[in-house]
Amino acid sequence: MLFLHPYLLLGLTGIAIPVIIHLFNRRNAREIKWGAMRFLMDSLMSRRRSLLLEEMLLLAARCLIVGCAVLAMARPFVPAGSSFPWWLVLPLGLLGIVFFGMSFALGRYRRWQVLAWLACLLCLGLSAAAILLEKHLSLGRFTGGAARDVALVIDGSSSMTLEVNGESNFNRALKEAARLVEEAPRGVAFSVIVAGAVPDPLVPAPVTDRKYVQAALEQAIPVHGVLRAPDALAAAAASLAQGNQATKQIILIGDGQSVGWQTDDLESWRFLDEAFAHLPAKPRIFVRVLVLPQGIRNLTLKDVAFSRPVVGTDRDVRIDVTLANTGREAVTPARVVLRAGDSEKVDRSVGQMEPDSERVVSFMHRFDTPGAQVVEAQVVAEDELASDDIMRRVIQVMRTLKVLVVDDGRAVRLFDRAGGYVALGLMPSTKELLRDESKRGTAPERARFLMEPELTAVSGLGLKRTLTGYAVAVLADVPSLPAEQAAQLADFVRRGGSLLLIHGARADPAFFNNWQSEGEPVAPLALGACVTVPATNAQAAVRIAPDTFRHPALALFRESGDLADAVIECYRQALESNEVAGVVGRLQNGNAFLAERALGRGRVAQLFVPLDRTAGNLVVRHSFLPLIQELTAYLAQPVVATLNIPPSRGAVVQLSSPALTHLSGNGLYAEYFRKNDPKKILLTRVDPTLDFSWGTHAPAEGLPADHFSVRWSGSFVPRQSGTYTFTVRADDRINLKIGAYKVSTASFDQQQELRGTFTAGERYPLTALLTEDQGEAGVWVDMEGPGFPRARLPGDWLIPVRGAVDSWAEAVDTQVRAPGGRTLYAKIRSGEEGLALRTDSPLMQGLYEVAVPTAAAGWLGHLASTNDTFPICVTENPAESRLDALTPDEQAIILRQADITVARSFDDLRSALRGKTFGRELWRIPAFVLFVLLLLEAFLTRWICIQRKTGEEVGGAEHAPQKS
Amino acid sequence: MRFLPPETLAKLGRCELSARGVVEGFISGRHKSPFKGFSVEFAEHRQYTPGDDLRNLDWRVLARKDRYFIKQYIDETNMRVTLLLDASGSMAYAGDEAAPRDGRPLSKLAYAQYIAAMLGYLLVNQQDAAGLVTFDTALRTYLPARARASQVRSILETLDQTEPGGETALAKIFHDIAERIPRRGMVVILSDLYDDPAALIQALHHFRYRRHEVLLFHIVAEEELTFPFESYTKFQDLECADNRLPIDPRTIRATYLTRMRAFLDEIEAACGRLKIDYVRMNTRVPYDQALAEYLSLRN
Repeated sequence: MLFLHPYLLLGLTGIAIPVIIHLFNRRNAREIKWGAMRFLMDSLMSRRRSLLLEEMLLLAARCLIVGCAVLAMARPFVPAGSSFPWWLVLPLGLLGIVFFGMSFALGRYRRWQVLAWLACLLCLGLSAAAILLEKHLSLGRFTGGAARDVALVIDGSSSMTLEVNGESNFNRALKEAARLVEEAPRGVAFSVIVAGAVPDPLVPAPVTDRKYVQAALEQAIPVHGVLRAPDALAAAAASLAQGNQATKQIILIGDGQSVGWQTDDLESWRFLDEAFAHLPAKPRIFVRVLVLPQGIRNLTLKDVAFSRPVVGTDRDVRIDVTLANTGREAVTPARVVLRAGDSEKVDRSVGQMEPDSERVVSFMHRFDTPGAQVVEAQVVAEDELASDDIMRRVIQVMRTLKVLVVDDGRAVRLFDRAGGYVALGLMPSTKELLRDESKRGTAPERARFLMEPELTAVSGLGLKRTLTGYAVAVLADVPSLPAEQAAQLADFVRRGGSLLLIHGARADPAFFNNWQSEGEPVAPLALGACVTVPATNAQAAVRIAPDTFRHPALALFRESGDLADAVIECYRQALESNEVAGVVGRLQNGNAFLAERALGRGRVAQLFVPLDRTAGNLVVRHSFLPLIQELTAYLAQPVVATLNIPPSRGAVVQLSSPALTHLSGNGLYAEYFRKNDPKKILLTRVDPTLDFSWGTHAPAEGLPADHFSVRWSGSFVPRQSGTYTFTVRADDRINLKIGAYKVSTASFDQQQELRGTFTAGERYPLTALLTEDQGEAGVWVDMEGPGFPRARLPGDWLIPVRGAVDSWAEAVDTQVRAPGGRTLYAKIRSGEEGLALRTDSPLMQGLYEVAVPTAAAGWLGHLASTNDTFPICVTENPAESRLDALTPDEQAIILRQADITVARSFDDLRSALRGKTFGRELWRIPAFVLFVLLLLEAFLTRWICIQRKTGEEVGGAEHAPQKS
Repeated sequence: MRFLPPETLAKLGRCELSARGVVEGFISGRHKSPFKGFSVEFAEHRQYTPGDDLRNLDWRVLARKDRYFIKQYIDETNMRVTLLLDASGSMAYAGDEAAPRDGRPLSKLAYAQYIAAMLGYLLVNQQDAAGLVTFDTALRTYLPARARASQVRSILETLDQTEPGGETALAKIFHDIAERIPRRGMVVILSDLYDDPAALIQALHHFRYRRHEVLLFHIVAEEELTFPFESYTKFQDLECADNRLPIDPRTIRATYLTRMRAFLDEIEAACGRLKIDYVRMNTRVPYDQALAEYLSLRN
């Protein structure tokens, strides 16, 4: 308990006044010589006890009256977080005063008087000690001195936009903050942060300019999302770190919604301690809780999900919209609307929804154009929180998914090849499949199929310089691979591609069981022997057991389909060890059917039944086609861009997997353009090395044969240290720069040399600019180095990225339009990590449009096929729609995490700002006791008066003489 | 002669005048004497004058000598009145309300002394015998009842010398005096009676047993009756100097008054039973006025 006017407590000396008066009376007693002593003595004797009591009561009452009056005027109050309970300290003090008064009535009884004095000292001493200690403890919390840095954190979560008593809590919070700023004493610097999914610093560093802060407050808009209190407080701490004052305070005005305080995730609160460590002193946190609306009507969109991870333009996809009633009343939605592209579908099937119930509404949609597209779901209903009625998701609709199917190439006819059925399953049109690859161009049939299989033999695989562009590679009963191709495939998987191994009779266990990549086995399980079961033996027939399927790709076949009817005539045994237990499906005899493991960024799946005619009648089941499609789609998942991200302060968005990115792997990044129009890039691609003889033809389709230029950029990474000599010739001329060395040729027949010293493993930026005027065109660069005879510049010593692996220095700048119209700055880079976008601005929920920069146009074709922007969606958190207030347990948890004081009213906040302590005022209690005592004293005196009156009758008729 | 100052004498004279009927009745016998004697002992004859009480006419003489003579009895003309004056310390109490004399309020003792002086004067003047006893814890002076004219002077002198003394011990003294008085007569008690009521009543009983007529003048001060004290007071006992009582009088006033009332009632009731004349004399009322009132009532 503390006092607002402690100096008034000096008035407590006034409790001595009744005592002094009492003693004074005694000292100034009249001396009367009296005759009728016996009557006095008798009267006194009979009333001795009650006399003593009366006197004690009166004295105590009078002292207490003075004491209560003084206490009430000194304005006692309970500071927040008081250590000593006031209901002990205050009565103890009053008791001390009572003992004080009573002791002076006990004049005749020395022993009791001394006891009373001791009791008085004890009580007063204890309460004084408690008050002083409290003051000492409290002073640590509320330092004086007006100059301080204050971070105003306004809760901008979605719940704050609800209206309570005609005004939204957010506006209310803004008004209170503005008032605080206006009424703050001089020297207080304010920073303002709107908290939400991501803290939005309106005024990032504390400023003392009131007008500025107030103007910022006026323009504040809710951030939406969940409050995320620890993040907001950390952001406040960061803003305070930029202030100049030593005293720091954080004032958070919110609505006490439970979900924002993250009481179930205490790790984020730990992080807060680290943030505070950067400040000179731990800031005091004051939380003002506005009224949280209860009993609202609200429907929320909880989720929008696609039935398939890989979606193309070939067929419908089912979009499931989950509706939830997070309010307290039953609501009937009018309709659920799904918008995708230009189409809008309406569903009116949902009836009344009870509180806490969920409903799923499914829509079938077929995307027409590839690229990143926005799917928007909306529930139209009469509910109070509108911000959660719309949910958007961005999906990358694949134009095509290139799948490489490799088999041993022995057979000629499609249906005889091990990979024939696989390829057919992926693109079920023989005509299309057999059409020459180069002619596949823009045939209308192409649009029907998402997957674009390329069937080749092992030798054909060897001819491929790069596997960039394929999402999945399938080895269909391949016996083995040459080491180089094996390494290439493993690297492909590590970069994000996926591998499907199908084992049949031809597979060579020795190869597959020893196939390693960076110390890890590539195949999930080791191969055993091949088991052949002739078809005639019906009883020993081997079948697939769909009930053992535990895999997303096989989910479809657990309950339905005819996979179980297939009779397997040939399968491979799997040697299972306990470590790699990636079996996700089995045959009826217990042998593994499908196994999977992750490798780097990609996955490796293993089928132990060959998907060709040798396996039995599996390939003619109806379920075969869906099986192969599901498997491939599942495996292709890593290449799909993640365009839905949670709110964050800055993010790196993966726009494409390295497997599909042009600029991973080896080679040089090439840009082709007309000689006199360098701004307009006609073509970008990765060229393997600087070795071209185009003759009089154009380098590629769509490019002119003459008057063009090519710019190559990348890095040269030598494998040996030493001195290298590069011999350069170009038609018509070239400038070449490697590291710090450069050379140029002036005419088509000139040959120049570039000599330099290089260290192995280091990246030396390489740029070359070729200019072609007329006639023939070409470029030839040879390299000679220590231990390397002169030969064409090896392509695998070149990488198309100039900077370091993680560097964003080479990234292309772009702009992002945020919801609300703000423009953010971002970079896009393509490198060994794939295609990524990075921004350091805070990303709040909503739809963002990324502008495609011209320099990166070639990279983003899969996202922005027709427009020059593509969308990214920052997702909402449906938990925000739950308007549960903090429970007392959660409050206790929060109070333990940080030094938080709850301000009950605006005035408390204001006092906190002034460094004054605040708390519940108690002056009413001594005032009430005072009132009671005044009544008591009056009653006592009146009672005595009454007693006196009854005795007056005696004296009246005394001098009438009596007759005998 | 202090106790019979000229104005008192004058008043007495007046009193005589006003109560002349009484006094003359005493002396001349024309009115019925309030102090009727008990004795039937024939003393002498005296000439009859018209107006005498025919009760005492000696019929035998009339028959024999045809002359009218009144029989006079010894005691008829010779009442023996003993004045008992309480001179204990409690009588020294004066109070502010008491009737003043020479500018100062009279103490109870002084008041009683004046009354005693007046009574002695009256009695001797009407040829009755008056005696005086002063006492506190013990007998202080004893003047036997004489009818001589010099008795008044003796009484006055004794009164003059009487100073308030020690404690009160009425009952014992009364018993003593009751035995001492030779013949039955009248006993006039002037006291505040601050003693154990039971013992007191016992002593009064003794007087009646000895066939004395008792006249009890209860001298009290107004303050003793009303206890009007307001502020904190240290009461000091007049009888015992060590006895001090500092109290707030308001706190015990009610009880005191109840007890005082009970005491007065008890005495009065006892006097009523014993056929003792009880006269409460409040020192507030001037003594001559009080006495005159009483005498007129008695007549």
